[in-house]
Amino acid sequence: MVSNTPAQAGAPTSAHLQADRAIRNRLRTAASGRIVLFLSLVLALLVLIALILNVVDQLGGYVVYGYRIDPKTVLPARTPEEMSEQELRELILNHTPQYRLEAIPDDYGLTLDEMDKDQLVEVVYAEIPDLDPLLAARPLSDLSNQELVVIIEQNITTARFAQLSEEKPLDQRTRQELLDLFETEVLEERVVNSWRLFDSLLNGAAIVEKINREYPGKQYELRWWLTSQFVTSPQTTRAETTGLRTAILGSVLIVIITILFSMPIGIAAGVYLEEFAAPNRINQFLQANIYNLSGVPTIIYGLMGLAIFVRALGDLTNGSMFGVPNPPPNGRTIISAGLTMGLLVMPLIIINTQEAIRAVPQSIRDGALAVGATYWQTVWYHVLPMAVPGILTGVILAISRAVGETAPLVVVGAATYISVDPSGLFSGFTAIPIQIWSWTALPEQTFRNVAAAAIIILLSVVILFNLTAIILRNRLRKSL
Amino acid sequence: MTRIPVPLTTVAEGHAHPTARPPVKMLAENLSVYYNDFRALADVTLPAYEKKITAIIGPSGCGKSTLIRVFNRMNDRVKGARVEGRVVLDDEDIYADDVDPVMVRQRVGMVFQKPNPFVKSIYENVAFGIRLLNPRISKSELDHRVEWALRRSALWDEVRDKLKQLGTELSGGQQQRLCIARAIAVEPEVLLMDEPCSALDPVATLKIEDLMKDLSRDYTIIIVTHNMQQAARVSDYTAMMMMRPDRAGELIEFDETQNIFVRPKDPRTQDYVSGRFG
Repeated sequence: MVSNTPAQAGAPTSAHLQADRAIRNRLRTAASGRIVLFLSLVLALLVLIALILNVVDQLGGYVVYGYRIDPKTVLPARTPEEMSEQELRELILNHTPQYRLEAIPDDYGLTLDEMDKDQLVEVVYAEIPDLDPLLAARPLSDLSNQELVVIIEQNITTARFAQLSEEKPLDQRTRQELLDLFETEVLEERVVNSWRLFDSLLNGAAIVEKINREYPGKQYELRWWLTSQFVTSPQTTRAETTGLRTAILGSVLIVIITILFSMPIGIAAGVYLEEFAAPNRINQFLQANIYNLSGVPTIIYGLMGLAIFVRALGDLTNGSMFGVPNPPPNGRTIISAGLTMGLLVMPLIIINTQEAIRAVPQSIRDGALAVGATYWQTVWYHVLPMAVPGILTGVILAISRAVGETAPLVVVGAATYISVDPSGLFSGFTAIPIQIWSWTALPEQTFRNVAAAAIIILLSVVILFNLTAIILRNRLRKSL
Repeated sequence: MTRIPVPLTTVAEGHAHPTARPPVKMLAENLSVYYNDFRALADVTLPAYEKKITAIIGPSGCGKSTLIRVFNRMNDRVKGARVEGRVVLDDEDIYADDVDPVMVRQRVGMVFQKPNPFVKSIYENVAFGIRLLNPRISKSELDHRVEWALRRSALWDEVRDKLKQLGTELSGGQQQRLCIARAIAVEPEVLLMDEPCSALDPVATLKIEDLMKDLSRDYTIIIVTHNMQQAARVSDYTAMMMMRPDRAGELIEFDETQNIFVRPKDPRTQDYVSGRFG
């Protein structure tokens, strides 16, 4: 404090401004306290960064492809009749025992060079002991489209064949499409080895060298798992071709139902509790339990959804009461999942609505009441419009919660493998977090790559929602 | 504690210029206000004479705001608030069982300490109350009434070109005049003003005070103020309040303003208006 009064002017000032021992101790405590707080922040950030890097590390990297099925075992062999004379001669020379080879000119009266094709075929059958494995598979280029279709049909399950035919009849497909099908469905082309992203970027040359040494002639590439194709493809059983479309559509439908269900009810309940409920014991009890509900473990909501929506209301939630053809046997459907999720986020919406309404200054209510508005008019015309950004913030946070929630969906019965897009409210479903969960549980490394891609998509969606909420909230602060 | 008898209709003795008083528009009679068990006001009896300005002064915490909010039942929604005694508007008890507070507030408007325009356009701020009274009002009639209220509150010339602008974007003094326009737009009979200038600078304060004097030609005004000079400048009557030892507010003196400031009867009023405390 600066003072010009004579009484203090004469007081020694310099000595008083020096930090004495007590002050130095206090300052030291303050400094070390600040360091501890800062280190906590750094530690938290490091953990987060490690988490993200671990996900990104699996997003791409070198992969080597191979076939799970040897093409020779699938492609029809060429009979000796189909071979050229030259080929037949080589076959005989290479695979006939030496003593028989020397005996051929005597036994047949002709040398190999003098024989015509029929005679060569005869020799092949007669002289080569274990002929079948030696007959080379016909090259793919030899096969006609019809033959390819037959091969595909013989080597995949009938169900899969029917599914493929439904997508597009096989005899109407182009040759390239058939060849692709043959590779993916019959030979099951797949990644036989893979490397992580950072390793691939830093030691690319060494990895390529290793691939050339250990997998000579095999196809390899620096593969990126998060592609537009991954986002738009339906789910398949193989990591190389699977996609997230089925899960994305499932998540979107679930969130739509969640919001349609919980937003009107949650907002209405929040407005009532904050503005109209008398402060009596019943309402205080309700209020306390809404806070409790927002902290209930989500799997409990799943069990409740299972009991209510899947079992008790199964006839409603599988659509059979609405005359949906071929309803699923129980209510493990999108609408059950959406309603369960709606119950889960409703306390959040109620609490956020209450907070948004509480943030509207009391003076606004006074102003409206003072000109003769009823309390309803005050709330409807002045309080609610001012609370809308805050309420929306709450709704968006609730959506982002619903998008990422897994446990209740597991209990309510999300399918972990489903390759058809959801057809409506009453179809089976999967969702993005469910896919991540099921993919990471599989043994193949490639599914972990796919899961990492799905994690990135899920994280982006959640972060996008939360950013929107933050922006809305800041705007709200400005307007108040 | 002695109760101060308040002369309501009789002319008090000993006044330098005894004047015949106009009829009483509003009257708080033996009024006590409780917040749960706490007694905030004790036995207050205060008249507000028709088309006069009545100022309520007194130190902080003496219940001035509680008292003024009783006159249009703004305390109704305060949790645990309870009123004993009578508050009369033109011979009707506004706390009677069959009285709706909404009806009271249409006749007794209020302007608050901090300007609180709605976060809507200037036009909508004024039009809101008019529409409540008359939902089917025509656009031209509404325009007319809004303009009238803005002119009456000396704001029209400053906002006539920006009626669509947000009311909250005006300066503090303009916002307070907008709140006055909003209050008089529904044509109340009584206007309550709870420290209407405490958030304003001296120039804006002066404008509001001029406006109050002008409005008192048509309205009965009750104003709470911290500022004794303001009470002396604008009011016709002044009520002096104090806090009793049990923290309940009481009214210790009520008289014509000049008597309160020149010849107060109560020594505490004397001390307060001469600036010895408060």
